[in-house]
Amino acid sequence: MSAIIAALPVYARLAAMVPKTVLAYRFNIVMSLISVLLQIYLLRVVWSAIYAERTDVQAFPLEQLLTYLTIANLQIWLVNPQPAWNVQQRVREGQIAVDIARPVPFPGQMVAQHVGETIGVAPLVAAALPVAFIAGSLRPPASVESGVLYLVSLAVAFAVMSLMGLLLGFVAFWTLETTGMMAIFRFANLFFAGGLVPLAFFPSPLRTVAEALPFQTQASIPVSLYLGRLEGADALRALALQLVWLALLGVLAVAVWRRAVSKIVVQGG
Amino acid sequence: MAIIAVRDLVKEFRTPKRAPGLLGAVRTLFTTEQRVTRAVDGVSLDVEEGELVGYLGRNGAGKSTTIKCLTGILVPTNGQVVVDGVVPWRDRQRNALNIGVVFGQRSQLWWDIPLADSLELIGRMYRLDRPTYRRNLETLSGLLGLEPFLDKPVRQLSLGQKMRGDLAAAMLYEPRILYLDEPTVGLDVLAKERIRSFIVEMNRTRGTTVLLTTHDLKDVELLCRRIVLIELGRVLYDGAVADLKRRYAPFRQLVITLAVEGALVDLPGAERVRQEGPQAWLRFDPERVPVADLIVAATERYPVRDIAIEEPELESVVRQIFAEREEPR
Repeated sequence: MSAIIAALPVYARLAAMVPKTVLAYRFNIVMSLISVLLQIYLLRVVWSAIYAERTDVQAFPLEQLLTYLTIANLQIWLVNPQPAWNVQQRVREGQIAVDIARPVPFPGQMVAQHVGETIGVAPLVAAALPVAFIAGSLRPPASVESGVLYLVSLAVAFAVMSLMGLLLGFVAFWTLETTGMMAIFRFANLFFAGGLVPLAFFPSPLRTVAEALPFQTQASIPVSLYLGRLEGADALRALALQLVWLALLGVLAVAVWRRAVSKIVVQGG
Repeated sequence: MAIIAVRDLVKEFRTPKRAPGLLGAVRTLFTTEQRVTRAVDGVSLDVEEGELVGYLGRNGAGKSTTIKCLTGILVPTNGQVVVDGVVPWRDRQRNALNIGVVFGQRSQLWWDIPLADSLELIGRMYRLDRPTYRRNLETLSGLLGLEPFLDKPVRQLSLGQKMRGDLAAAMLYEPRILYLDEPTVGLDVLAKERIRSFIVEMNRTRGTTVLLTTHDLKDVELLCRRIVLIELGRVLYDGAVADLKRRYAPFRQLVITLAVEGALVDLPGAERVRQEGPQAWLRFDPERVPVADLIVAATERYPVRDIAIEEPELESVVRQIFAEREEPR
């Protein structure tokens, strides 16, 4: 722990270096952002059609739902498990040897990179907001308080995702390969975060499952705060739940890392 | 006390036994049968401060694995390692501050950013204050000629430039120990020369302890007084380069060029290895027959135009040692 704190300025430097390098891959990034905007548009088409035939969904008005889906999907796209790819790549190529020989702990290096990558990509999301407004819908936060709570919750969501990404990546120390798992993870995350259907519409057994999983921290909680659907004590309870997940995953990540590091095999000599 | 102390180091790798074919791949998922490979099998080794040691062996002999245990990257299966008072894998961060590592096969520089930025970041990682950082960068930049490409992204550098950048990165914080894992692999003659003279310079002026693995025995011949030869994960020889030659290649060669082609060259105390046209190669043991006697005898008997004495090259000595042993694994 003290090693991590001592290394914070170095991690900040590492993170600051990354955004410039992200632009090297801007074509890929823009293409995948376009696919998210398309997804938002299609969700709007489907949900608008469903609402047109029903009158008993007033608990979640259409305009609010469309804003929910727009923000949720953009956010899930931006806050992604990139560390899983980065760790896997470094293990597969043997670059892990170089990382471990550095005087700052490796997991922090990966988190710093994740922070840098996300900061590098964020302006693209900002640039896409007008398109997102047309494709889906966007309303301002319910109140100033909701907006502030949302930003806090978004930051925690990012930290939770960084840890989940690390944990997925650590699996590569045993298997060298995480691509299949990643596909399952990304779908589970999109679905159980409430990216396609809000958790409020889940039938009860599925909803219980969703509420027992960490994915709700990724969209359901932050966007509900944004929309003012969670307020007062409920809002604080939701934030606390996010923090509990953060702590749990943090402890788990440390434990798995300790085991992973003794498992290292350097690929390619 | 030795700055690097290795006792009975063992490193085993376990891989699941893989059956061939599609069905085999499925079976591998559920099998618990594992294949154990002993990459390092009881290596003991002491390196004193300021030594420049060549660590040699064939591909797969366990050189890189040893280095990775010494740098704290790999956790050994058994044995003790203490480097500058630190057990490397138990205290990775502290160990990292004492050592510089260069892997010829990979770079510690960041691919997409200029070399100067990479070095700056490494300076911060190793907590150098600004004046020290600037002074060291200036010295290294001068020695390695980094100036022309400091502001280029690393991905645009040639292999030789990248290696120079990596050496600068490894020495920037003045570590007491420098591990070099095949630092000259793939480099041209001039680039190799530059890197060798840099290593000698660091060892001479800063007293940096250097442990070097390489397949280029010219590196060792020019840099190291001591070599450690390993084979199948075990130490085969540990000592001076000169002693190794004396032990495995006691003979020297006398190359005589005759002014007139014709006569077969025969000298007392020397054995003719071959003769082609006017040139003859004779093998002799300098311990038994003085070179001077041979030269006198040659000039008395034959119309000699030129005489040269060839020392055995480390390369042929090592080749001979390995040839005597069977192929590993």
